[in-house]
This record gives sequence, C-alpha cells and structure tokens, in this order.
Amino acid sequence: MMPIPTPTKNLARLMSTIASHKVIDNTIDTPGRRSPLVTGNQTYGSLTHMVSRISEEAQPLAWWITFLLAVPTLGMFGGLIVYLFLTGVGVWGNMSPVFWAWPIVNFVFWVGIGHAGTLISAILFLFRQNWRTGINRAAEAMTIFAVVCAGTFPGIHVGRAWLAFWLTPYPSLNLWMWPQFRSPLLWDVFAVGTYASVSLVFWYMGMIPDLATFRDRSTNKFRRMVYGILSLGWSGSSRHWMRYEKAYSLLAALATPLVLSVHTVVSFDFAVSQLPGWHTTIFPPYFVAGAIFSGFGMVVTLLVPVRALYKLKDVITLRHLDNMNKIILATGSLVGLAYATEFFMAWYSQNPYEVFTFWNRAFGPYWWAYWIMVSCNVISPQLFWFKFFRTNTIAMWIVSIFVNIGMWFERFVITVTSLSRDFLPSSWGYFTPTWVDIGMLVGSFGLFFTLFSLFCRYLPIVAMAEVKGVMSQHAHAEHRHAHSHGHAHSHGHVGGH
Amino acid sequence: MSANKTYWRSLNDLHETAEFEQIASREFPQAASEFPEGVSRRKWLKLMSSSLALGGFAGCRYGPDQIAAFVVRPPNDVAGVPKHYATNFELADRAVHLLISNMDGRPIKVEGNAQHPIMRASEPNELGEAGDRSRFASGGTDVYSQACVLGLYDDDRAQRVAKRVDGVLTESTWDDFAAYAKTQFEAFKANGGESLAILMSPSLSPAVNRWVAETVKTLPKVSVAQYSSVDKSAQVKACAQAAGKPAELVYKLDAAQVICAFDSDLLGDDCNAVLYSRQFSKGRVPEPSKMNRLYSVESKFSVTGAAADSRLPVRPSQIGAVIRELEAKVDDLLKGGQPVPPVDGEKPFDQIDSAEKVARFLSAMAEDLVKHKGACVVAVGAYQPLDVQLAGLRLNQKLENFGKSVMLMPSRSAVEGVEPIELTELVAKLDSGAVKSLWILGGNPVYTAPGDVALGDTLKKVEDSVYLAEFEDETASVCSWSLPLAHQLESWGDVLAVDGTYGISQPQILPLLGGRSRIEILSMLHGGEAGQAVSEKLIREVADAVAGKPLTSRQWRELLHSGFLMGLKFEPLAGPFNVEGSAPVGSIDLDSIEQGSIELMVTVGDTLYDGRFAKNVWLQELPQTMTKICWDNAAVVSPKTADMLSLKQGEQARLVHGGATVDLPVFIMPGQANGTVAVQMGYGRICRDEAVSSNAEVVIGKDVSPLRSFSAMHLIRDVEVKPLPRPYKLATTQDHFAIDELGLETTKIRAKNLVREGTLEQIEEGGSEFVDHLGTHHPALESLWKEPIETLESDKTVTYQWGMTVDLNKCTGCNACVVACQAENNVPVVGKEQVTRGRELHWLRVDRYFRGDVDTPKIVNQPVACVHCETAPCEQVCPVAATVHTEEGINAMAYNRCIGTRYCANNCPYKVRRFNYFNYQTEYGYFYGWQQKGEIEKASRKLQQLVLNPEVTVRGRGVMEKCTYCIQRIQNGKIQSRIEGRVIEDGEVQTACQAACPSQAIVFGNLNDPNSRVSKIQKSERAYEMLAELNIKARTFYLARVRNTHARLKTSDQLEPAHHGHDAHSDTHEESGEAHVDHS
Repeated sequence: MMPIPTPTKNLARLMSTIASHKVIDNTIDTPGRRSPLVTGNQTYGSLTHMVSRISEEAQPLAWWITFLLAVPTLGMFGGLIVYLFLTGVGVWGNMSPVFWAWPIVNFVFWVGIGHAGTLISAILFLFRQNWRTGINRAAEAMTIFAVVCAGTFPGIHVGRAWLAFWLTPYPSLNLWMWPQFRSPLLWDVFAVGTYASVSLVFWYMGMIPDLATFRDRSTNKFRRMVYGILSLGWSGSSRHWMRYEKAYSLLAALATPLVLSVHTVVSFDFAVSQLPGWHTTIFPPYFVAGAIFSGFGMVVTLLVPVRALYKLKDVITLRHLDNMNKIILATGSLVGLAYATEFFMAWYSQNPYEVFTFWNRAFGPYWWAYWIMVSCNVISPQLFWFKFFRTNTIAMWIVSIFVNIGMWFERFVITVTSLSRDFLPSSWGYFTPTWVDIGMLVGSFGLFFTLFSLFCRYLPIVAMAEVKGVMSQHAHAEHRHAHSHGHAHSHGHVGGH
Repeated sequence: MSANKTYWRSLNDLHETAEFEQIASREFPQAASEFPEGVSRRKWLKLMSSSLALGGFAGCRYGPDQIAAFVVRPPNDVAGVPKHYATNFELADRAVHLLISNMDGRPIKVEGNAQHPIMRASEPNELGEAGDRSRFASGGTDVYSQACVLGLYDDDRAQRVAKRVDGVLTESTWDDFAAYAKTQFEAFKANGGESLAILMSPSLSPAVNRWVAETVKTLPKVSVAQYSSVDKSAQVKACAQAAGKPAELVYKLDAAQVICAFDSDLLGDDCNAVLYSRQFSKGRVPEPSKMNRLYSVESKFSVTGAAADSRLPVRPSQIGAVIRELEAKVDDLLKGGQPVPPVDGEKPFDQIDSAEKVARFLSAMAEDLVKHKGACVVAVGAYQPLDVQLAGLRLNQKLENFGKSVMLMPSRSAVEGVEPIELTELVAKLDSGAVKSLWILGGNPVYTAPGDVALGDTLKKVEDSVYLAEFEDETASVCSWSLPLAHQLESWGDVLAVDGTYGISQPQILPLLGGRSRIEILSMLHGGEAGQAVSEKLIREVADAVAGKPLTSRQWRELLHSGFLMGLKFEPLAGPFNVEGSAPVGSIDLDSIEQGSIELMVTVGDTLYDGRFAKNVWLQELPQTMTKICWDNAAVVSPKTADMLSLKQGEQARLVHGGATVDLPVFIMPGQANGTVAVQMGYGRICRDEAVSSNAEVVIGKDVSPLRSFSAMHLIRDVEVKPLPRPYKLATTQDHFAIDELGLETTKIRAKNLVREGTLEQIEEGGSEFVDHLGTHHPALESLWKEPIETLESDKTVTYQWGMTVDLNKCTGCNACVVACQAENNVPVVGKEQVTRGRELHWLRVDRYFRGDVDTPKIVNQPVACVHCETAPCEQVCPVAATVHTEEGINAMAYNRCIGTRYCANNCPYKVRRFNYFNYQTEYGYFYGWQQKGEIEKASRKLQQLVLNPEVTVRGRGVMEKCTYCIQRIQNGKIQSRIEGRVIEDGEVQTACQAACPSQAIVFGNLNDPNSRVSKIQKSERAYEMLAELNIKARTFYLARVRNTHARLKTSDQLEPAHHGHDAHSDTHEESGEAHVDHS
C-alpha cells in the first residue's frame, strides 16, 4: 500500500474536527429515515484516521494513569497468587460452611461480564443490528479479558492447584481414569474453555482487516512487521472478503449458542447442587440475563471514557449508548423479575429450607449485601426509562458502575449467603474476607485494565471495516444500494483512501 | 514474650543472660546460630532438647536387647500389626483402665478395658442377644484418656534433669540428682525427717501411698502435705464423719430408678463419669418401669443437666436450701403424707413463675424418691459445703439407699499411718523455716494454688526443693531441682479401681525423654535405685502385698495380661452411718441478680481439667461440652444476668473479688443459673499456638486462681462483675447464642426435626409416632433413575453393607468420641485462629441445641459425622471422582485424587466434610512454612508424628477429608475373617467413636445381616434418618430421644398432642405414600 499523502491526512483531520462541532442527535428515530450510526460527516478516510491514530500517536495522560495503576495491581495479583500457592488456600477467608467465597464470586462476576462482547458481535450480528459495529470490537476485547480474569480464579481456587489439569479428560495410562462427567464443575471447564477459545478466534478474525489497515499505515518497520504477521497477509481482495464474511457468519452462528450456554453451565455449578438457594431451575435464564446485564454495564463503563478520551464520539455515538442502556434496563428488570420469582417459588413450594434461605438473604446477617444488590441491579437501571439518563454520559456511567457493583454482589449473595446457612443450624457460619480476598479482587481488575489499556494502545478499538459498512447513506450516497442489504463489507475499504 | 513474663519469669531472665547464650551456643553451635537474637523460650528449649528428642527415637524400641534389625523376627512381633496391652493408671484424679494399641513399639491409641471388673459389672443389658456378649463389649473412656497418647509425644515435656545454679535452672543428670538425694537422705535421717516435707495430691496408687507410708516410718517427723487443685474436702469430711474412717462415695446408677443430682456432674466432670455413664445408659431403655429418671438441680449447665429429664437452674449457695426443703418433703411423705397429684389444666412447667417451678420440682422429686425408696440416688456435688453434703447423705440414709444404689467405700487415697497436713500449714512451716526441704510429686501446685496461698513466693526462699513433673512449668521455675516425670505410658505403676480392684500400669515404651516415675523418685528419696527394672520390682512387691502372697511368674504374667488382680475388691462399708449435721440455711430465689453478690463457680475444665492438659492440643481444641468454646475459658452467664449486668457476647467482663481482678470474655448461655458466673479453671497457661501465622506460644485463656481462696476454691460468693466493653473473639465450633431473631427462630424449628424428642408417655401411647411426626412434610421420596451404586435395596451380592446408629437417649455429649476419632484418624489440630474461621477438622462433632424457654431450657446433643448417604450428594459433584461409593456402602475419599474444589463440602447437607486449608499436619505457615524448616523443628515434628496411626493416610494441604466409618478397622476385620475363612461377626468391628463411647450410644455393623444389632436398631420405632426428606438415604440413623419427665414438670412442647394434624392428612398419605407430616 501507498503511504498516505499528506493533504488527505490533513483533510481527514480537518473534517473530523468539523464533525465534532456539528451536533447531530441520532438518538431520534424519524420515520422513513434511518438515523445515522456514524455522525460528524465522516468519510472512510477520516474514520480510518480517527481510529488508527489512537495507536499511532502518543497516549493521553489518562491512559498513562490507568496503565501505571493497572500494572502494579496486576503485579500484586501475581504476587498474591504466588503467595497463595506457597501457603495454601487458607489465606482466603473461605471456611466451613462457606467453602466457596470471593474467588468463585469473582469468577462468576468476570464470566458474566464476558458475555456482552460476544453477544454484541454474534447475536446482534445475526439479528442485523447494525449499531453493534461501533462497539463490538471493544466489547469483544472486554470479553476476552474478562474471561482471562474469570479463568484465573477456578484454576487457583482448587486446593491443589498444581493438579488442576486433572479436570481435563486426558488419557492417562498411570491413572487409567477420566474425570467425573456428572459434575457441573467439569461441564464448566468445557463451557468456559469453549467460550474463551471461540470468542478469541472470533475477535481475532474480525480484527484482521483492521490489523491490515494498521499494517498499511505503519511508518516504521517494526510495526509493519508485527501487524503484518498479525493480519495474516490480508490484502482486501474480494476473495478475502468473501471468505472472511462466510467465516464471520459461521463463527457468529457458533458463538451465539455459546453466549447462552456458558452462563447456563456456570449456573449449573449452583443449580445442580442441592443447596437451598442454589438448587433452582430458574438459574440458567436468570444467570444469562444477569450476565448480559453486567456485560453491558461494563461496556458502558469502559466506552464512555474511551470515546471521550480518544474522541470517538462520532463512531460510538449517543445512539449506541442509548441502545445499550435500553438493554441494561431490560435485562436489569429481568434480573429483578428473577429475584421476585425466586421468592415466589420459595413461598409457593413451601419448602421450609427454601423459604428460610430467601428470608435469610433479605433479612439475615447478610441483608446489607442483598439490598446493595437490589438497589444497584433493579432500582438504579430504572433511571433508564428516562431519556435524559440514557443519553447523559455521566449519569449512565454512574449507573453502569452501580450495575457492576450490584452484579458482583448478586454473585456474593447467591454464593455466600446460601452457603452460610444451609440445613443444619449447628454448622452455620459467617464469612469474612481476608486481605488476600480483597487483594485478589482488586488484582483481577489490575489484570483486566492492564490488558484493556494495552488493547487501546495497540489494537483497533473500533471495527473500522465494519463501521464503514454502515456509514450514513447521506455521506456515502453511492453506497446506498449495498447498504440496504444490511451490511457492506464488500467495498474493500483497505488502507486509508 | 511480655505476656508470658510472670509465668516464665526466671527463664526469661535466664535467656537474656550471657552465660546462658554461651552454654547454648557451645553445645549446639550450628543450630544456635540459625536463630536471630531475641528468640523465644520455646526455640531455646528446642535447641537444647534436639539431641534428647532425637535420642528419644531410640526409645521407640522393643527392648534394649532387640535393637538390632529384625533379621530374626522376635516372637509375636509382626511389623504393622498392633499389639494391645492392658494398663491402669491415675489420670486427672481418677483411675483409668485401658487397653493400649501399641504399633511397632509405640502406643498410639487408647481403648477402655472392657474386661475390667467395673466395666463388666456395668455392661449394658441389651448387649449381644445371641452368642458371645464379649464381642460387643467396649469399655468406653473419657476425653483425658483418649488424649493422653498425644501427651506422650509432646516435645514440650520436660526433657532434662535441671538444677538451680545461681538462680538459673541448668542441665544436670540423674546421677547428680541421685548423689544429691543420698546426701539429703543422710541429713533427714539425722533429724528424723523434721526438715523434710512431701507435697503431693491424694493418690490412688497403692505403691505411691506405700512409699509415703514407708517414708513416714523411716523418718517419723516428716510432714506429708496433700493438696488437690480440685477441692473435694467437704465431701471427704462428710464421708469420713459418716463412716467413721476415710471413705468415698460411689453410686450405682444402674440400681437407681430416680437420680437427683445437686450441682453434681455425675456424667461429666465426676471422676467416675465413665462408670456412671455406663450405668446410667442401662437405665435409658424407653420402656415404662425400666427407664430411670434424672433430676438435675445445678447452676452451670453440665453434661448431667443436659442428660436430665428435668433440670432446675439454682445458684450454688441455694442448693443447700433446695435439699433442706426436699428433705422436709421427703420426711413428710415418709411419714405417710400424700404427694400433690397432677391437676388437670395445670399450666406447663415452662409457663409458670420461678417460685412455682421450685415448688413443683421439689414435690415431684420428693414423690419420686419416696416411691423408689432403696432404688434412688441423691448426689451432691463435691464443691458443696459440709452441711449440704451431710444433708445429701442423710437423704440417702432415710431413703434406704446405702448398700443398694449408694455406697460408702473405703478410701483409696488414705495413707495408712499418715496424717496429711493442709497446703496452708505447709506454707506456714516453710515460711517459719521449720521445713527446709520440700519434695513435690507433680501437680504444678504453684499454678493451681488459690490466690491467697503464695506458694510460689515461699518456694523461692526454700533452699532445697525437688519437683517432679511432666513439664518445666510454673512450679519448676521456682524449685531448685526440676525432674522430668515419666508419662504413665512409659512407666510402671499401679492404681486402685473404684471398686478396690488392684490394677497395674505397665510401660508401653521406654521413657522417650528420660523421665522417671513417682515411685522411682520416692525410692531415690530413700537413697534407693531407680530405673525400669527397679520400678518393675517395686510394683511387683506391691502387687504381692495386695495379693497377700507372692505372685508366681505365671500369675504375674496374667496380671500383666489382664491388667488387674481378679477377685480382690472392697466391700462397701455397712451402715447405719453418722449423717447428723446442721440443716443447710438460706432461701431459694431463682431470679435475684444483684451486682456485688454474684456467685462465681470455678469448675474443672471440660477439656483441660485443672490445667494439667493445657499443653495437649487435642484437648485445647476440643469444644467444651455445652458452650462449644475451644482454646479459651469464658465467664458464662445467663441471658438475664447478662442483661442486668450489661454484659455482651463478644466483649469481656471484669470479675472482682477480694482485691483480685480477672478479665474474661463473656459467653451467654441459657440455663446458667441467674446471678451466677461459671468459669473453667486450667487456663492462662502457655500453649503452642497451632495457628497459621506462627508457631509461637501464646497464653490460652485466663488463670482464675487469683479469685480463688483456700477456703473457697470453687464456689466464690460476692463477686463483682463489671462489663468491659473490649471486644474479644471466642473460638466456638458452633454459632454463638447471640444470633439474629430469624436464625434463632429457624434453629428452634429445625432442631425439633433434627434431634427428635418425645416423652415416655408418648412412646407408651402411640409407639413412636412422634418420631415420624416431627419430620418435615415432603412428597414421596423417589429416585428418578436407578442409582448406579450398591444400595440396600439392590441385589444383595455384597456381603457387607455398613451402617450405624446413634442413640440420642444414651448420648450425654461427653466428647469422648470426638477425641477418639481424632486419635484414630490422624485428625490434625488447627489452632484457635483457624477455629474462629470455622476450619476445625474434627470428623465427628457433637451438635448442641437448646429447647424450651430461655429460663429453664433443655439441651439436646447430637453427634454428627458423615452419615454415608447411599445417594451421596458429594459424590455427584466431584469433578475428579475423588469421593466415591464403595460397594459396601461407604462413601470413601480418595485423598490422592482429590484436588480440593470443595464442591462436595458445599453440597453436603450435614456439613461433615472437612478441608485442609493448610498443611496442618506438618509444617505450615506463610510460604508453606519454609521459615520453620530448621533441623530442630523437624525433629520436634517427627516426635509429634509418632502418635500418628500408620493405618490411616495423613492428609496434606488442599485435600478434603471426613469420617470413613474407620475403614481401616473394617479392613482389618475383613483380613482377619478372611484368614479364618468366615465372615465378620456382628460386633467384631467397632469404630473408634463406638469403642470410646462410655454410654454405648453408638452401634456399628452390617446392615445386610438382618440379625445384626445395627439392623435391628435401625428398624426400631425410634429410629429416624436425619434430613430424610432429601432422599439421600443415610446409613447412619439416630434414635429419638425420650425424656422420662414427671407429669407435673412437663413443658409445653412435651404436652403437645402427638396426633396433631395427622388425621386431616391421613388419606393423602396413604395414596401418595408420603412420609408422615407435621406442620408444627
């Protein structure tokens, strides 16, 4: 590819600046006219530039602050894991009867967050929701990193972590045995493993055209070499695009059931047991709704600052945020319905253990956790009935933080309160975390934000190729025809022309 | 070390001196340099002891002549096959009769000697209906005996002969001491022993008493002082007055229909508790006219109180008044008065005011006592004053119990020709300089002495003081000679059983740490020799004397084999006895709580006794029977008292009496008498802290001696109790009482279902319908698929299907099973910090629930271990198949396969699974305990590990564990029966808990055999499965508890009609095959 001629570059920059001054409210739907998904009179070139420059220019101060906070936190996480291995899982606060506590809460929390990305890229893709294009790359990255965080916990949670590989069904001549296939924990290994690998492939594959753009824009050899390797020789030929789209559709179709299955299986960890408060059939849909809820919450938490920081408001528009907030409202209410249903079922079943467990959740020693959960997950998203909150970035950011907190507490409530008081009152207990518990939760955020900062720094935050396919007809009248088919990758927008 | 300052003052001072460091570093230059400056005393001790500890391993041998490798195997020695030796010794002021399992030369487990005459005499009547009764025989033990093997391998035990040189205890030798003893003896002989005093606790050992008598004969002017940390002098005096000579009171509870215990913990801290529990359980057959009735009037909730059919909490000072009133009522009835008949519509016992409660209680007791004249027991606790003791004896005499259910036996501890002096007298003699040499035979009197006896200060001034004890303890630190006492498992000795049977103690192992026995020291006092051969000879002489003729070597071997001399017993003293005394004074008021006149009751520690077991970590971690506290003592108060005095659970209380102040954590316990505080003694001593954070020593609990005085050792009146709002975390294995309303309410409802209980009348009326009635309403229990495991319903191709029953009617909650399980199955101790985190590892626990009103509650106990569900929830969720079902129905753990996901424990409804959060059994701590891996630490650990049972896997960190039904014992039984070409007979395999249970509440056996005891019991009307509604088909069944409560003392829950709500549902039941229903 040719290096970009300077005038074009300047023009693009100029146009993106102009665009930022022109306010287009794309959150309003006008009959007969689609609201633009990219605002600010962007051209393909200006868009490419807008996204690519992020990894080409020096990072803003906020990035450095985030990164320099995240890396030591990650270091602490690593240190704590070493400490844990050398000392024993007793460094955590979990105990009898709460044999699973924060590590498992963190696991489910992170797995839940890992839902939004693939949901956005796969399910919304299949449902032809074009607005997904602006956010799917970042959301998918978030998914991968959340799953990395999630995957860390079960691995280090087992008492003899060095033997965790026994969970995998490998043919062993010495042992001559398989894992126990009746155990949900084993299903979990498969579910999360499959989800992580498919999501990773999906994310990476979707990134190839954009990586090629990065490669083409590279001004030094090293970058060109690295992005060259990563883009796997993408040339933007029609044949490439054809195969790419076929593969993308197939992967989307493959990933879609996984979105539903992974948290369903995670919920089986609880539902298949016979512990009151865990043993409920509502868990699979409830967990999936909660996961989507928390995933979108985290996407909003991440993208509101990202779009401001990297001036991506024209691609990640208010309409995108508005849509996500609607999903948060819907799933938040679903989660609320699930909470209510649990209570109803406990009452309706007249199972004394069940009844007690739910009363105990709301009014027992952990009442505070329950009510934090309800306020954050059910009450705070109700603000999104109002358009003001859906479109005000500060307000939605605060709500999204609440959602994150609430969803962590939801897992805490399910895991810890149910375990702390089960059948025999003689064995009841009260769990208190240790500093290692707290350190590891914080540390997992260190891992997450380290990965996410590196992602922002080195990889295309926005799926440029896909966004170009849905760019406003107004700006690209010549693409109208193709656009009416829903998406238009076949233009071969490679490079910065 | 600051906290330990007073205790180890001299040693503290010591290790700061240059000489000491020099000594240590000269001896162990390498190891010494490993420690940084300012090391703890413990590290120094270890430093000095390392060679001894390592040398001790040579002691684990068969005998001096067999040290060579077993090229030729000694006869009858098969490596890995345990041998059992009978032995008897004194332990915690009681005689214990034991069988020791000796594995390759080291004693590792203790069982009761079922063949001992007192065990044979109290065998439960329903044992072994067919065949050999002895198959089922088990002696039962108490917690102290079970834990004594751990004490043997304690590296904290005194490991050197130490002599005070320039105020510092310095290592010396036995030869040195022998020379010293010889010169001393010459001096004593010169003055007739005037300058010598011997301080000892009353001993049950004829050999010791004989030597003391011998000393008095040789040195007529010697002073012999007897001091016991547990003051029973009032009872001793009363018995002596009654019999006209030293005597002791022994009950025969199996001959009693009615037992009235007044502040007397017959089944708990009584020295004969094992015997009494056996006798008591014989009378717990829930059939009219067979079942006994136990009344308990007491201040502290004791084991006896929990086992009682009716209990009345009364403060200690009012017990006398209760007995006086009772005597009046009994007198009246004996003269032909009529008992108060139950009135229809009378309010239940829990709904009346306290004055009426007392009145009803007294009239019911009086009625029952008179009705069962000659077959009842009035037992008065040893701490009660003389007038109350005499009143108790008087009642027994009036009720014609003597010789039938109550006996006065000749005293075992009286020494012929010796008039022992009191401790105070001894201190006076020492202070005045009349006595210059004091020989102390154990007992740690400096620590146990009450606050007003300054024995420690006096001893410091005494020039020649010899102290023989297992530990270099408080007393050792002020004596001029500290001699290591051999453990009873290491030494020759003897003891008299409660019935006068002579039993001997034989060493199971050569002294590990070079200790010697009391007899050897007394022999040395006479300038004699010491050593194993000498003490064997000395004991044999005593045995000859007791037998009345020299024993032939065959008879001697027989004595060694059985442990006792058959046929030599005491005859009970014949009455009538002189039981006259003034009537106890005072009035009864159950509700008064007045600051400043609070009564403090200092009892022996449930687990530590008087503190002598403070270094035994099994006992430290054993939950106290009623409070479930471990690693601490607390000020136990009733909820009302706590309210009145503004005491709060989780905070402390300041106890002030006679200028002494002790701060204790508060524990609120319903059922404690109002206006009283109960506290256990034996705490405030240094113990190893097994907590993860360090292996340092800490002071465990608080020493309450300052509050005690020589005249009031146990019952201390007019104590001021102030709240001390300073938080304190008590380690309890069961939730504190102070939980939220919701939890409390639910516990109440659930406890009814979990621990089912009815009255004798309910059994009479409707069989045991109440047992099923108390269960939960649930749909038909059906499995959705065929279980892939062997169940009782499946084809019986397997010979054995193991199962267990626990009779809650017999279980007293004495904890012996818990320690027995710990000893048998290598269950590690986790330390206080870990217990507060709920990580205790006991495979078997005793759950305790309250029932009834807060003022006069009842307690129910329930031992819970793995119930070995046929459709075990734990097995289904383990991802690596580490917990699986054996074809014999045991839910087995494959420790090697376990990776520690802990899912099984989450899914266990009984929460009996235990997890090794750390490497509790070996070094653990930060970074896997790397900082502790010094050579000495390793040596100490190795010494401690000698107690481990080689037949049970030692679990490492990260592994789940739980009860296995003692699978190693089953396996041994199978091997033995296979060799003999037969099947295991019923009763042949006993689990450790079953063997240790003094009341024989636990039965284990083969459910496939319809004639086995366990099969029959599981079919009994009272049998029920805990949490049966989960359809997990437990193999352990419980037998519902039955209380034989007097009609007028029944509480509202006991009066609830059994048929409540049943009729309305009966149709549906039959149709759907549901289990019984109850909505209560």
